Amino acid sequence: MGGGPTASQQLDDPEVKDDEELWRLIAPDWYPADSSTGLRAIDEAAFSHNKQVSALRSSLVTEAEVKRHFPNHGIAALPVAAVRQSGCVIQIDDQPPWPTKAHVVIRKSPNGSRLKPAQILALTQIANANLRVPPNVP
Amino acid sequence: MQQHRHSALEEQLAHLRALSAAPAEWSPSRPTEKVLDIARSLAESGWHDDIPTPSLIGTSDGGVHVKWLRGSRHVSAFIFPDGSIEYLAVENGHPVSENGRLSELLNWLMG
Repeated sequence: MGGGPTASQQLDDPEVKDDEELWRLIAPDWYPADSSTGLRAIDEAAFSHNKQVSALRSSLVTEAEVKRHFPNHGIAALPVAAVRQSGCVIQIDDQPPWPTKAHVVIRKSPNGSRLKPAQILALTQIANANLRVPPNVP
Repeated sequence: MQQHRHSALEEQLAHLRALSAAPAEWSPSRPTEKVLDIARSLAESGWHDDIPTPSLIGTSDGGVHVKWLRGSRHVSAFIFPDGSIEYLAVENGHPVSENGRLSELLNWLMG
């Protein structure tokens, strides 16, 4: 009986715990106003990518640090458990200027391919429900 | 009406053309002309049927999200940098269909 990790488990980094939060930075363009109601909401464009979506582990970065690099961006907080429940895997992927192990990428489970439209929608809904800092819209 | 739609579409395309071409993780990137042509073609779909003018928003990899919204329903077309397109029909926040042709999805939107 093989007890080794499945392909999904290999792609999903166990170091990122379910009770953590990921921050997706929201560009002003991704926070449009509804043409009829005028209400703003995060658009699915914030989570559409042909490979993977970047995010930051909130336990390893500060809001001030994010604002220093991206003063006009908003911050949507994504509970890790909810991201995984939407059918995604999370991998640590170090990138400057962020601290070690702070930058992660979100991909489709189990094979790590690009997110499907329903997953893009799910992540957008999670982000809209957890918008921590709205973008500075001109 | 048609003129208003044309102006709204051109304004959105001009905004996408003005984006930085540099790849970005946290901001939209300028789409290629090929992607913009596809976005224009999709956006013009259904102009003869009172279908609302969609929003066109750039993605961080140079793709475009085209979105038609009507009441509790919306239809999304995700255009990726290689020109591939994926659709999603949504009602009351729930995915209804990830398949079908755009004309069918827009008919559903207006149904």
